[in-house]
Amino acid sequence: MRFTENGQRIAIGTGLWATATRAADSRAAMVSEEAYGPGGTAGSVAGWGMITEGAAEDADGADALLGVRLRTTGKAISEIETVVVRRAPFGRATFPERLLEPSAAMARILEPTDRGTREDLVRAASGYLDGVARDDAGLIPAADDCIRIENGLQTVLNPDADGFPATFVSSGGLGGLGLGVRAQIRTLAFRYIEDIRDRRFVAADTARGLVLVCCFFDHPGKVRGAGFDSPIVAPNSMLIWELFKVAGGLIRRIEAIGAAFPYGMRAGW
Amino acid sequence: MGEVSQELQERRAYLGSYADRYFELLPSGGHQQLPIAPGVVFSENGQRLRLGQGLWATATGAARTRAVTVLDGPAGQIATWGMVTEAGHDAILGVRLKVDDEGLIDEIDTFVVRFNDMASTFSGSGLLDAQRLAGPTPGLLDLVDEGDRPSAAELRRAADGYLDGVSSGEVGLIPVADDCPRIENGVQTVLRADGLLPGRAPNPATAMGVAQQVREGVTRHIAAARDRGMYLTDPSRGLVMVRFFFDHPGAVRGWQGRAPFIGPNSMPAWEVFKVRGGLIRHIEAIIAWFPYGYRWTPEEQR
Repeated sequence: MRFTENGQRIAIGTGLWATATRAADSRAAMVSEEAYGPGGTAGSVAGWGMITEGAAEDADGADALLGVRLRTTGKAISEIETVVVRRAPFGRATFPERLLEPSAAMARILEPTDRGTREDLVRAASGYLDGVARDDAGLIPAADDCIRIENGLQTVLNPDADGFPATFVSSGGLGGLGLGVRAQIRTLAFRYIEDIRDRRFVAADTARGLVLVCCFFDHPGKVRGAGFDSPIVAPNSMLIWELFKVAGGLIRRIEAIGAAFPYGMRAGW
Repeated sequence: MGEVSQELQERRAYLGSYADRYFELLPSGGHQQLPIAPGVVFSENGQRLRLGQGLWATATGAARTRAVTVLDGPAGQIATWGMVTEAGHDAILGVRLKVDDEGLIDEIDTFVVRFNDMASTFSGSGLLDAQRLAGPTPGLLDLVDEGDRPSAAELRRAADGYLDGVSSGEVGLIPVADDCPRIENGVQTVLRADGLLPGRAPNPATAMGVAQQVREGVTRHIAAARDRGMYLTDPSRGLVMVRFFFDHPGAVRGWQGRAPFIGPNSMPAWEVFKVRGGLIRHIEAIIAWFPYGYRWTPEEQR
């Protein structure tokens, strides 16, 4: 059994296992997939929700967002991958309340006519990642009203910047919070993303139109002579878990969690 | 013997010039102008990158003089650190260069300590005294009298004794003088007359010496000083450098001590000890905050 926390192979029982003092009653997002083969049933389940580390009731405690991916063979867990987001998003002091509740939109079962195969789901998600990495909105099969939630905040079609600190709004980040997924790409606001690498499509649920990809967004930082201004100063690589809901061939909703790590880091898988 | 010394002397001279050149070329990204061996291995903060990536692409300035240098002539290696700027932001750059038999650089390890870094696992603001790190640490490069001079093996033992003592809480393992200062990211963290770190609340531990801090349990939150390596020794100056990780498990349930970190993290460090007469007389370190369990090389992560 292999266990990682934030890309590091550590002994199970250490890391967050040793510091967690509370977990939310429900997870914000979940996806699962089973496959039947000669060796029995292989399953993947992944999702995320809020937890607390340290003393829960005083200043010595802190909330964090925990993503967990389990792989099972038969009844045994063979892989545990976790990502712990310990920094509240976009300069906020706290994590958004939204992360305490399950995402009903993601859990909804699709009409049979809107469903695609696993390959269709992977293709749609890949198109999104390619489009973001190459600044090409034409590669992204997203509906115009597609919502994207990142670490609990809505980062598209959010003209009032709900949940964002004023410092982030005034920076003009993401090319404009009021724009949609593809319109943001057209502003070339994501040129600071050099690559989206090491993509792993870890679970797909065709009934719900869900596919989860774990990957790294490489940010080289403010590179001399780049011809544009990166909002990220120092190089880093962001470990992202991105869940897509695809219906009728188009991405309808995206929910993601992620945190920044040293530039070039690998996931340990 | 004299011939060897001559060769060593020359090697020391060009190793020093290579380090100077590294810092000179950095702000312009001119890594191609370094005397690089084919197949050179380059890493930044434990990640194998192409030479030219990372700080090579973002640096906008570098100090002309560096705070700390350890030159290991027989091993053909130099390690040094000093201040750089990245898009106007201060950072500390540690560089280790190794040369091959032909005098070309075949290994480059770098450690970039950035402040207010998104990738840092420390949510607070790290301490930095950029001014102190802008020039050589006084006395660090002084030659040690023959009678007080440690061997390379003794230097390693002293460094390991310190790390063993700090991580286990056994002060008897640490061969340190009572008046030994310790400078971390340019800030003195022991024997402070003011009893506080700059910009922080008063903390009596800062007035203690190295051994007293360990004796009083100040370092109990450190679970291990692991993956020690990159030992460079310079007996003539009584210097040894080692890189390693301090593991901080964080606010572990049921632990009675006071953890300075809630979530777990691993603190990478490059640490230099000056040893004279069998005792550590001065400690200089650069430190950062990485994910718990982080390793120095990608191979170790698998």
